[in-house]
Order: sequence, then structure tokens, then C-alpha cells
Amino acid sequence: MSIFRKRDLSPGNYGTEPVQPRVAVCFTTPTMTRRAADWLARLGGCCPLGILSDRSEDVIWQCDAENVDLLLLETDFSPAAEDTKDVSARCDIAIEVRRRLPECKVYLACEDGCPEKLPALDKAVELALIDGYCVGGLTSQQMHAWLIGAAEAMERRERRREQAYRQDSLPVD
Amino acid sequence: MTEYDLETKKALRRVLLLEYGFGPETLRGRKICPACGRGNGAYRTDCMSCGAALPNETLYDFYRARHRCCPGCGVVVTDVAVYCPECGAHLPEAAEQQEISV
Repeated sequence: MSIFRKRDLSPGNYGTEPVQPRVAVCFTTPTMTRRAADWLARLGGCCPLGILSDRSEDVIWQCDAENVDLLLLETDFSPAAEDTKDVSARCDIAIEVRRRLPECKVYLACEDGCPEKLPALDKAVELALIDGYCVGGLTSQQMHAWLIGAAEAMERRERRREQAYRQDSLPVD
Repeated sequence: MTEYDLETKKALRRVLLLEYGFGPETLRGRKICPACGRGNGAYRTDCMSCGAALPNETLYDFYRARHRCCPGCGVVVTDVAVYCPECGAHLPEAAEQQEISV
């Protein structure tokens, strides 16, 4: 058995209870990411996953490997930020994640006090680069609404997959 | 380059321009107070800082007065351009551009 064997991500309990969306969180520091993942676990309704490195290649790779349904990224508008974590840099990650996982929802958690960033955030939503954003604290109601959207996208995907499977397995005369 | 690349590249460029304030959409949404120089939203008629009356022209109108812009999408183009590199629209002659006195 290879140590590099890919983890089986197929839901084992399919059909018995609803599958929860896999939610990846990536905040600007590993501590914040762990805290966000813990908060999501307590909130329920999803399988949280913390991405401790917020380098774009790491985020994209991990989302793809874990087959996530929702990605929550934090932005950092401070000029002292080591790497670019602005709206456009986060949209860049969203584009690459969605290239691999077209059904994945991407949301941004933005700090308060930067109104000049709002037009860019609204445009990113309008042009469907991201699915939404929150400014300031992320409330449990907001997260629940996003989780419902992710669960609906999952259902649609599953339905399409089942339909394709049925069409493939039709008996040929 | 795939359709997805083309679409997302263009969208990302628009977000980037809005984020850093150099795009026509940002300029269309801003007015500068002639009295105190403070930036105001284009919807305002008086300055939020000093109360002075704001001009009707947005920053984009002043920008257009100084540069040759595409009439379709509003991006600045060079004097010799015949087609817009952004949206592909046929550009009018450079002399046809209207000047706005500032």
C-alpha cells in the first residue's frame, strides 16, 4: 500500500443521512484559522477544514484534494501584510479553485473600516468571481445562509451525477 | 486560453481597477470638491466636508477631457488606436473627442 494513496472522500453514509458540505476556512494567521474551524464545528451543519497556509498554491491544492463545497477566505487590507491578501488576490484564488471545483462556493470575510474596498467586492460578486462577502464579524445566521447555498449546490451536483450515471447504464437493445 | 480564462481574466481586471481606483467605474462614481479638494460620491450635489456646491462632472469627465477614451467601455486608449483593446469597439478619430473645460 502506498503512503501516497489518495484518501477516499466518497461519503460512506450516503442515503442514510444528509451529507454535510465540506467547508474550508483560511484566515490570515493559523491561529485565526483554527479558531474559525472550531467555531464552524460548534455551529454544526458542515465538515470544517482549516487551511493553515494562506499561500494561494496551498489553498488551491488543498481545496482540490479535499473536494470542498465552500471556501471561506479572509482578506487583509493592511499595508503591512506580507503577501497580497486583498480582494483581487483572493478572487485569483477563487478563480483557480472554481476551475477545479466549479460548484464550490467562495466567500470573503473582510475587516471593517475599508469602505473603499466595497465597490471592488460588489463587482467581484456581480461578475461571479466570488459568491458573497461579509464585512466585520461573520454571524452564525450569515454562515447558515451560506451553508444552505452550498448544500443546495451539492444536491444539484449529485442529481446531475445520478442522471449521468442512469443515462450511462441504460440497457442497449 | 479557454473561455473560462478569458472571462475570469477580464472580470479580475475590472475588480483590480475598482480596488485600486484607476478604472473608469471608480472615476464615474467620484466628484472632487472645488473648494476643499475632498472626494465625494457622484450622487452628491454639495460637499460632505465643507458644504460647497459640487460640479456636475465626475472625475471621469475630467479624465476624458485629458485622455482619449473608448466610447464603449471607457478605458483610456492611445492616440493611434483604431479599435479598443478592451472591448473591441471601433474608436472615433482622436479629434472627435469632446473637450471639457476644467
